[in-house]
Amino acid sequence: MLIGHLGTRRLNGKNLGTALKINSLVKSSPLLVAPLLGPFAVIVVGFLFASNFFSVGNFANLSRQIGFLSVVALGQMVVLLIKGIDLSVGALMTLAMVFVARNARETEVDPRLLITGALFVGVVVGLVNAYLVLGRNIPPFVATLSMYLLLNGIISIWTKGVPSGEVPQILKQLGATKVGILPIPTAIGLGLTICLAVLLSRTIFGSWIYATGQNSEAAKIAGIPTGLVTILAYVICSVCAVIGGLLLSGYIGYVDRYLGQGWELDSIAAAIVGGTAFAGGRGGAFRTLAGVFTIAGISNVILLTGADRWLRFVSTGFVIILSMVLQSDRIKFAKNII
Amino acid sequence: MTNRLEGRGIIPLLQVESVSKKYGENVVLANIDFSLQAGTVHGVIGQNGAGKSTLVGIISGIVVPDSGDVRVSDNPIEHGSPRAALSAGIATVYQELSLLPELAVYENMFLGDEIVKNRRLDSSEMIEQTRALLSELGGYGIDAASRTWRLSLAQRQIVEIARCVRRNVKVLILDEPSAVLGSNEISTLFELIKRLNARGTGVIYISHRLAEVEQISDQITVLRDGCTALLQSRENFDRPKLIRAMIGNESSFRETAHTKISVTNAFSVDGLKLHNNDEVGISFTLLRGEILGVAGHTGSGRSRLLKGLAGLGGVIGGSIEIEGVKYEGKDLKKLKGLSVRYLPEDRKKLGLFLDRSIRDNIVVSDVSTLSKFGFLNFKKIMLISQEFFIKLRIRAQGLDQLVARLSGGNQQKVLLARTMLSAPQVLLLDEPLRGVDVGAKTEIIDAIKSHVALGNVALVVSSELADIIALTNKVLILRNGATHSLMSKPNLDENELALAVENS
Repeated sequence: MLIGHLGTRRLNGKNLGTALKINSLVKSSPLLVAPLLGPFAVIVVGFLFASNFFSVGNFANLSRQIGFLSVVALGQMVVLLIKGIDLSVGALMTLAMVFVARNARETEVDPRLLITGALFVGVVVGLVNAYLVLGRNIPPFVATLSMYLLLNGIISIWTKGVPSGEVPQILKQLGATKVGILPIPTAIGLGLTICLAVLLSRTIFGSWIYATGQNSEAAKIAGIPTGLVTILAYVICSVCAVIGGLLLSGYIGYVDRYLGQGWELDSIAAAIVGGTAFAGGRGGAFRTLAGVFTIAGISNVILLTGADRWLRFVSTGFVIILSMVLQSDRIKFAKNII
Repeated sequence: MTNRLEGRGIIPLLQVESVSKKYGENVVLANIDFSLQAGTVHGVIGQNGAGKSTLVGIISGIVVPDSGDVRVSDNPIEHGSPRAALSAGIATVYQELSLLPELAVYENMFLGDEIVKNRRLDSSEMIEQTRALLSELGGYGIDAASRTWRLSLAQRQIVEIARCVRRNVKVLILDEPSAVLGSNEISTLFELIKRLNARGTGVIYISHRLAEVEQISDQITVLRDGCTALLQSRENFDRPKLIRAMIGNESSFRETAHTKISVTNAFSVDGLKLHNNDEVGISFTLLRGEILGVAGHTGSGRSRLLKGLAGLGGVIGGSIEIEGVKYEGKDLKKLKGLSVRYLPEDRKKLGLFLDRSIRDNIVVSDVSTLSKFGFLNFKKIMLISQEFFIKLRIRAQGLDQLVARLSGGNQQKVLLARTMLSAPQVLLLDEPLRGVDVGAKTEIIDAIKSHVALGNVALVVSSELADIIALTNKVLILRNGATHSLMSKPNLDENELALAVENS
């Protein structure tokens, strides 16, 4: 009876339909599938070379890393979608951690209020980035690079370069506890992925973001408030960076000025490996999550195998190049059709 | 020996043999044969999507055919290699000119192939050779040493062609060369083509404009749906037959009567100023159901007028009135997207989102009304985009197809659908028929007329006077951003209008 049941299910027209749909999806849009190759490769390599890759401990570890990076990378993706870039996220992460930790030790202010304050700092940084890009017409790369240097300077002066402050208990709890099997940072990352996927594909704002990124001139003429879209994109990105930073500090348990270092590049790498177009207008939340899995997975596997840790950069660089090549092939393909 | 045979037309200069090309399921070219004799012009016409661009792509080595051969003087050319095609003497001059505007004419001429003497660029020699070549081709008032951006579009095109001539091109492909040219400039171009023919160069001339192709070609091939629908030689050109071969039986030329619902003023413009020197300003009044053609030379302010009315700025003074409600110059921005909709001139640059679907492109301006609490209402979006997809007869595999993969005429229909979606009272259309094939043109004209017949008005800018006459009997001629004259007659004649524009 069981076998019969399975048999009918296999022949079920609905399943066949889904299979066909997936098949045509693969054909019609290699870009939708390409980002999944990364996680797949990571899992295969992990399975072959790292004996404890599939252990419970490593699952928690890797999924937590994915949680932190996905929050930051999703924000970065939103900015990339409107043809921008944000190099200040790493510095902003550190600034948020330092802001909360220093004040938690030196003042009596409620940590929850400090967290709100950090989020507010994020909003301000996002607004300033957007003002430089929109109002002053500074290329996003240059504007956010200056912001990165500026924030880094502030952090160094403030901390004098030594670990400082004390991470509030509430953040430590967030970093350490789990919901079911998922560490909280992972759950937040997944939740944010779903929220952004809905935002991008099912809301007015989402359609505005894609239009602005693809052709801002045409978007303006079509009546889209491209200025507002740009401002919101930078603010979302900065707020995501603050959230990512605070979660990270809660997990690590202390704060120094190096914690956020390199996250701007990792977040860009994750978004791009996930198929976000550097030229704007193309990309999605779930694909970015796949990119995050790839980037976080590479460091994880290399850590587990005990290989030279600098190999991490070699493989990340290689993966980025590979994904860009795949993307450019797809663009060529599209051009041929025209 | 071969040369003599070529000269007598026994072995064609260029021969394309049973070439086919498919993109996925989509057959773009099916078993096409095509040949070009030395010293002649072979015109290629066909609607957008008929396969002209693919054929050109295959000949010039950009597109790899699935099967078939391309031969120059009976020597097969390697597929998919632009370099091989170029060294066999095939060159293409595209619509979008490829000269670098900041370089001098002679530098463009010798780009990548500079003359070097004593390890230095030999400018004087290059200038000398450029001068000699240009004067051999007819001069056209081009100074070999001047910066390229100073030249007119026509002159630039001549430089581009001269560059091909310098490289001993035997087969010259001109892809829509006349799209950017005025009528005087076209005759200059034709003169040059005749000179090239006399040197033995074969020319493939691709255009939407049948009249031109007829005038210049020795042979015409009509492509339709990837097949050769008709091949005629000069001695038996037959325009009705050519048109029929081009559009097939899908649509026919129809004359829709100008319908006027009622005789109330729907839209009036009063003293609209586009710049300070205009003391009077532009004024006109349209009744419900009327279309106003806007004509004038390039730079006469046609596009500026439409942009201004669309609320995109540039208006200094004056007012407009829609259905009795008055808006002053500065209030025009408020109109944006409400009862006034604007279709920009350059559809690829200013209109479309090429990498998005047809549906997204149609509804993008109206997502606010097609949603609830910020969330898109996909059912409504589906229904309304489907409606316009059918109404405007957009030819595509479905609403999900990317706009980049559509032909020019269908892209224009998508943009027009977006403009009409909100049922605006005033349509502002800048060159809605540019780069659109005959079939799509008729359909777009019909769509505009039926929208206006509901009691709305439209302003249509076009540099093709025939298109203006097909749409309306009321024409505003502009000059230097101000009114030159307003013509309104029951039977406006193209020649009469052409004369008026010429004299403006």
